Amino acid sequence: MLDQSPDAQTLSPPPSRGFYPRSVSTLVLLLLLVLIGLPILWELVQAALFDPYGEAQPPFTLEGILAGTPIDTLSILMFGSLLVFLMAGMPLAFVTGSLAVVFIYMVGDRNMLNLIPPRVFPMMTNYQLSAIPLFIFMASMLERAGLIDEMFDVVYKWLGGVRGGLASAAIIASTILAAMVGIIAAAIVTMGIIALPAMLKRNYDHRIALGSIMAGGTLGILIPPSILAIIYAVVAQESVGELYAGSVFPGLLLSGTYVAYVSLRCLINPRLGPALPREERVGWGEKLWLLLKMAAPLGLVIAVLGAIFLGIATPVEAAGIGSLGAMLVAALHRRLSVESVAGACVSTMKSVAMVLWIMFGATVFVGFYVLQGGQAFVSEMILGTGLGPYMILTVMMVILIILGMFLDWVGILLLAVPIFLPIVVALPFTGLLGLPGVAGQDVALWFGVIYLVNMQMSFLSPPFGYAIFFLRGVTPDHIPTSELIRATLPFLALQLFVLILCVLFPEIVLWLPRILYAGVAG
Amino acid sequence: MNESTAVILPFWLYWGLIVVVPIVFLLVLRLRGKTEAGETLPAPPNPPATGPGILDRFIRTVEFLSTFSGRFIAFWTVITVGYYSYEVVARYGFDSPTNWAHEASFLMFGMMFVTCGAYGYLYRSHVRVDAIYVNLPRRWQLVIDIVTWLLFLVYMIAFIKTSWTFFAQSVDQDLVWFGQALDNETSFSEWRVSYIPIKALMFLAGILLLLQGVADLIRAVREYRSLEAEAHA
Repeated sequence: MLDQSPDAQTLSPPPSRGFYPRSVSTLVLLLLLVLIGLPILWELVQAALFDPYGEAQPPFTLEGILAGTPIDTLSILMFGSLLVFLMAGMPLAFVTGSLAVVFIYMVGDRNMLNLIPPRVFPMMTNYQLSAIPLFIFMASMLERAGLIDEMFDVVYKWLGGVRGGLASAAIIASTILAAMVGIIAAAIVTMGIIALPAMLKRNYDHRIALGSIMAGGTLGILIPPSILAIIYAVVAQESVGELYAGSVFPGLLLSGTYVAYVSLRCLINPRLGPALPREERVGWGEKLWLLLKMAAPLGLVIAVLGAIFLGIATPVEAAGIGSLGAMLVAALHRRLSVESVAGACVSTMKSVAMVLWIMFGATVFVGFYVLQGGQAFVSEMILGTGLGPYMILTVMMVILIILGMFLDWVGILLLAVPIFLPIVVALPFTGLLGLPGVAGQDVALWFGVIYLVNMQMSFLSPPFGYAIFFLRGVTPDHIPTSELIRATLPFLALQLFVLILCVLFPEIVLWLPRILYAGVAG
Repeated sequence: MNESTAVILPFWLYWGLIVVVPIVFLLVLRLRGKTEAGETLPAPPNPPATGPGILDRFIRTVEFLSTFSGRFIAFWTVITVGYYSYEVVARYGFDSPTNWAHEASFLMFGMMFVTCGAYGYLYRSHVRVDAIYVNLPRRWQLVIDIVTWLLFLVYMIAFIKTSWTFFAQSVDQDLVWFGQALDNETSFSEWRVSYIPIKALMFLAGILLLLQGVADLIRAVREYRSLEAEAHA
């Protein structure tokens, strides 16, 4: 009864609906269900039947079966199974949580499972994390006010006369948007709808057009107010404000290198990105008028970031006020209605669901791993190699880049940072090539910003860069996906370049926080 | 300065607004219907289960619950925007900072963080690593979905069970039979808001998410069987 091929349609169907599986996939399904399901069922039954402190004990149990496993074996088991289930396509939010439960049960006992709520509850009652929904709400409200469209329009009318102006405009508009929006999907998709057709119409080189949109959109997670920085601050117990201040210059540097690259390419070969014909350019009068139209949203961004940097409001309060401001901006643009507020609320809640449940699962998983001595194990292993601090940092960056190719950014943060950070903080960074190093108390902040720059690459890096997928959805079909992937390569190189710059010259990161938070950062 | 004049948000108003504001929003949306310029809230991605059977009724109920709970908590964002704005205005305008605005807001968000799980599950916002999964034929995707669902079940059972214990430990044992604490737990701040509803919501959110998972499993098994039937028809 067992067909060799699952698609074998030529074989005559069995006469009766027998119990036997009729295809390979069904056989595999039943086999796996029995293999995984039976132990789970047994554990549930025996947990219900036997009192753990009673006389009668179950004949067989998986509870505590791995107790006493050395940490190196446990590391391989935990991260190996994580890899297997992730690759199989189980949602990250659930794979971490369920594997944590399985390992807690098998290494410890059922009472140890009670560590789940005390790991989750602090995340629910964390003050800093409440900035996440507020900033997302602010962004959704501004998006509904039609700002992303207008932003590109304004910038490109300003830059129209420059070679490669449209690509530069896309990058600069994305940079300004990044200062309003802490998530990248909206920026990339909207730019792909507006800026990409404009560039293709004017015969821009595909790779420059696609690359500038993807790289520009990715800036959203680096330039404040970024969601990722908030989560890093919570995990590393750093100040959100300092991280924001620290990521300003690396963000601008990245944006500047993108623009410089695009302009340089177009300067050498004008056919890659021709300037607007003279008759299509707009006069200074209109340019100023356009700028005036952008005054309200730009004022809002300056107010929000200014309030954070000058210490007038905490990032959370600034996000709250910013959300109110975003509603006012929407009202100015005549887009404020019950429907638009409701839409913004619901899309905020949906984004929150994605981020927070990954955090819940990962915090239990990593919490248990650290409890078992995993952190000390990784630390010893890395320090035991005898590598210098900067080599260790390089190794970590390479690991993060590789993780970034496959994992979601929140997952990487929750899984890698709690393990890496204690190691990095304990290392002396005395500077490379005779350049000044990083003072001990600044290392956590510096590493955080380097991490954020590194995560830029995770969005672009093939095969699973999010930016590629977001843009793919709105790119005309005649442009193949391979073209999108190739478009990311020069920008990935630029990101690597800026990452190295931030490591070599820590002042790029540390200067602004020191000026703004002189008393804190020393 | 003059702390006596500072307005303290009463608890009845706090919990009242949490319930009333979303209802008002949803009612207004319903009354206005589909306006021309307005957007409607997204509908579930699954085709509606319309059959008369008990399983269809179960799926319908659960998916309604997930959608409704998600939309309900979404409107809390508006309340918190109000609280934070009030706090900043009170601090700089009237020199009387509140001792409740921050806590009122982040606790509300905490409840949102945990409750949104079921909506996120239904609306596919829990991301997967698309390495192998997306390139597989649909029936193998379903095999993976059904098998990994067992792990999800383990997580949810542990989450619900331990959340219940966690919740019970915050309730006065003289008050109800399941209470395990000596007193009703409140926050450590001056405002002293009760933690009980928040911890109860953790438990309820686990149940909601598990129910949504069961509904999805039923859908997956059905789809798998119909694919099999097609292949062998």
